Amino acid sequence: MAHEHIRNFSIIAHIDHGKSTLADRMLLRSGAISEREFHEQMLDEMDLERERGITIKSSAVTIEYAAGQRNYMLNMIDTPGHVDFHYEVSRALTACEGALLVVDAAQGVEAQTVANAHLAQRNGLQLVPVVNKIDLPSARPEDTAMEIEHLLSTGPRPSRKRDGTPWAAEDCIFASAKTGEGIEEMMAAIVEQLPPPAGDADVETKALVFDSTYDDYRGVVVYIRMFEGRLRVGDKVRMIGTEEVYQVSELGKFAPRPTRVQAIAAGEVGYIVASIRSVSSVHVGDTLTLADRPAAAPLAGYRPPQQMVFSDFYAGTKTDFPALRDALEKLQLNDAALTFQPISAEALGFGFRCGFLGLLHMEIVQERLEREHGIEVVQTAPTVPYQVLTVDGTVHEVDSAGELPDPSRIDEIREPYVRADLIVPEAAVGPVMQLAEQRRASFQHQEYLSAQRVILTYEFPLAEIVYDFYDKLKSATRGYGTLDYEVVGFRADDLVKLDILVNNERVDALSVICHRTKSEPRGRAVIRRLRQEIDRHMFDIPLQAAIGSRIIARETLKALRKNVTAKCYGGDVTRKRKLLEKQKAGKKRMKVVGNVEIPQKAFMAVLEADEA
Amino acid sequence: MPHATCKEKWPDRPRGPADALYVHVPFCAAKCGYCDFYSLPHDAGRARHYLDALAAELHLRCRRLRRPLESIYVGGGTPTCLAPEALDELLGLPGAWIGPHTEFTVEVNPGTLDDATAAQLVSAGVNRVTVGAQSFEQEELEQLGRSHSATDIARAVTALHRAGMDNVALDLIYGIPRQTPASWRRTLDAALAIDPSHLSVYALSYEPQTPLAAARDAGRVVAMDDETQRDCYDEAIATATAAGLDHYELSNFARPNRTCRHNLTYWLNRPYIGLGPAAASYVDGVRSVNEADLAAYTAALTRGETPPHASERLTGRAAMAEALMLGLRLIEGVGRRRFADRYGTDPLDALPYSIGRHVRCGALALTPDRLRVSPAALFVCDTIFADILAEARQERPRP
Ligand SMILES: Nc1nc2c(ncn2[C@@H]2O[C@H](COP(=O)(O)OP(=O)(O)O)[C@@H](O)[C@H]2O)c(=O)[nH]1
Ligand code: SF4
Repeated sequence: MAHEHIRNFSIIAHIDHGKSTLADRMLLRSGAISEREFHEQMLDEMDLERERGITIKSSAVTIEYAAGQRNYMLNMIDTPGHVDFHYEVSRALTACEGALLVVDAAQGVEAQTVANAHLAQRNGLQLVPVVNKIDLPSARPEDTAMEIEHLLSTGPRPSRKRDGTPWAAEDCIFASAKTGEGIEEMMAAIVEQLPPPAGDADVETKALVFDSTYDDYRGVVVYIRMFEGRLRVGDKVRMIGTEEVYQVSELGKFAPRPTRVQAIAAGEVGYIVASIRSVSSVHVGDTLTLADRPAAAPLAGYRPPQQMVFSDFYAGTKTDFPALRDALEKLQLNDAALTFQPISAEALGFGFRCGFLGLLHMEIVQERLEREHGIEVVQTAPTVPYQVLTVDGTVHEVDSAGELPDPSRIDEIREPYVRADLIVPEAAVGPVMQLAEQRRASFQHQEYLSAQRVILTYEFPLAEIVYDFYDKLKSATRGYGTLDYEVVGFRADDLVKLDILVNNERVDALSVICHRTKSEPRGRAVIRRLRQEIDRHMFDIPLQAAIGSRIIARETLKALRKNVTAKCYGGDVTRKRKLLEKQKAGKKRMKVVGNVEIPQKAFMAVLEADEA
Repeated sequence: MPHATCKEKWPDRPRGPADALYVHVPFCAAKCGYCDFYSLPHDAGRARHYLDALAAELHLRCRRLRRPLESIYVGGGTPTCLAPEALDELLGLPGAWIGPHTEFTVEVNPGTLDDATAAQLVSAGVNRVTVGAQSFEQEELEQLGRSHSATDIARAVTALHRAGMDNVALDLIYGIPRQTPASWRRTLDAALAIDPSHLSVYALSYEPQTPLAAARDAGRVVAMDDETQRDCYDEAIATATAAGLDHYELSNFARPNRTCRHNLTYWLNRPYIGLGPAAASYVDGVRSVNEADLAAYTAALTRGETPPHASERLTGRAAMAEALMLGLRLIEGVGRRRFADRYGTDPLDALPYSIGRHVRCGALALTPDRLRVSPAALFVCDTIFADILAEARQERPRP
């Protein structure tokens, strides 16, 4: 089977370096979109993805390209552009033989450039380096090319050109997605430098699931890359990971828009529709095979989605619980990585503990709830999952302090660790190292990308960067620092349960798991916020933070001295009543602990409390 | 002390649509800086229209009233700033509802009360006068923007005594800018030296849109801090009770049998009719307030219509919470039996969450018979009331 005319590739780039615009440029070049559509897309600022400068969902498109006598099919597989979707990126890259490595000429190599380049190298992908935005007055294409040369010659598996020689700075393609300069060269390089797919159409079928979307009429649309064998309409297919079996009702390729076909064969990229009702039953990275002639083993590298950030979502004042549930269910149809479970904290009413791949994923979900469903949520500060080894030798997953077993049964508590690459200006190395130290990071190594820019590699507890680390990094580097990370596993540490006591009673919803060294500043911060948010009562209220029975911080909220309407308003009882009702207005949800009323707002403020 | 006084005077059920009548006189000689009651500068022409309208309103709304009433109260404003004939006409209006036991009160401003007026009140059947003394310190009266002087007070009270009025009540205010605990004590002593039958002490409140509130917001006057106000309140209780007055309501003290029966209609949640612009009524379970607009008031009544008013009827837990907000102002609190007779449930069952919490922390005292605010919590009792009202507004009580 001749695959010589096919290229399967991705574009990898740091956020905002121009991946989407370059992709649109290529579509324009192939005639798939019009000049007007191209400009509209460049200007379309309203779209959530564009506004954030990231691609949330990966998808595929085919670009037709004629070179010499030959017509090529360039299958472009889009990758999510953010660290939260590391696994999804890696799966998308697996579906390709090569990638364009795009770097903004004004920004240079950044954290995600490195992370994605390394990922591509580990996946054995051939790379084509592109320096984009050379039209910008601030562009430094030569410096950027030098950084790329450095990047490609190091890493897990140094990249080479197709002829086996190393990539040099002068091999980089200088392009501008804005003006169209360099696009021709870039497309020629895709054909020349990237290998065509291999794979035998006549052996047992193996297809990689690299994405899925939900369609109201057809159910789930599964994006696949065929590695071996073939698929026909009507085939019974099996997902090796989930063991689910479906019958294929529709097959398609992208030319460039989805187009129905009767069969797809090894080397190709396409989609299937098979009456699948929910994306949660389709796992990215899973292998699809034929039910009656199955492949012996799945493609390597599959794992189910892993939620690394949790946050509790409660219906805001204008939303009710069923509306929130319906909206989350709808979002989940399209987002297999989102999980949610009903919870009820007495303090806050009914809500959901939601699991996300990472912080950005969480923000996206929150924004989509707001924009697409008009749902206002109140959310708690994000936390990470923990593993608890109990004395009987079993390991339990715990995603809130309330789920911790009795301390006497705990042998150790483990927290997730990430390996993070921070790319920072040379001058900011000191402050960044200091910041990392405050966050319990362990230094791995340091490397000069160029004379001015350094890659610092650390291992961090995820809990330390999940909250406000990115903002802190930005301010320590005047906005130039970038960060990318990957979860590397769970490790035991001196983690404790920090309890908060109000009027000598523990408030369960405020307990958190944290590192012993962080417990005191955190306890103080929480208590300070509580003192601000709780109304004075008729008695003094002690506010305390404790580990076990040991009090580590304490403050007192003094008793209210006066709250009385002395006069009688001449019998205008309604007026007086309304004045009193105003005192409690907007404080509907209160939890009473130890005779103290704690407003919902106080819980939120506390759960957002900054340790600083 | 005669705690039984408040409830025992009253029959269990109202005898007619209302127990009491309030008449609002919307005129003052000059406006005091802290006041947000509805009043206009006095003007004979306006007063004429007002009196005609008042007679019309009385005719419209009081036909069904049984007689005699428990109380008639003429307040304002400043009733005594009316011309003598006008005042006579006004005081004569409710004559038909006055019986031998009816409490008939008129509010007077010490600046506008002379021997002739005092005699006029007595001969019109008025048997209780409340004097808006506010303070015996000249500087404080000026801070308040009162038009009378400290010596006017003694003069007014003497005039009343001379006219044969033995039931004289005094109103005082604490929390006045520049007032000190020492000056407050002097005012208390001066007030008690007059031997009033009744004493009201009110904390000054900065009502929105008054010149006083504006002065505070602009930093021209400094409000007394809560701590000092509390000291003033405690001082008032100590001094008044030492002088033999019974502390029977949050802000009120009385000689035996001299409790203000009119205000008791409010606190015991009994029905009353209010006449005049801005006057409030509570009849057949409906609370209504006439619009604070004399022109609209007279215009409507000239056409034979009821004056413009806002009204609402509370039911269920909202009505119970409101009754508690009023009844718990009494030091003796609320009788649980009486409450249950009226609302069909014990207060603790109706509003268990807020009442229970305040009982647990000691702000409310619960006995088998009564529920009342503990002495230490009196000065923060609005917190209790706000909680009770808030619970009443929630869908379901939470245990
Ligand atoms: N001046 C200039 N701007 C560009 C170029 N390519 C992309 N941009 C702009 O850079 C921003 C980010 O581009 P986008 O394609 O959305 O980046 P992505 O996040 O990598 O997909 C957008 O505002 C683009 O209009 C270019 O070559 N020159
Ligand atoms: S005399 Fe009384 S009603 Fe008139 S302005 Fe002064 S405080 Fe207000």
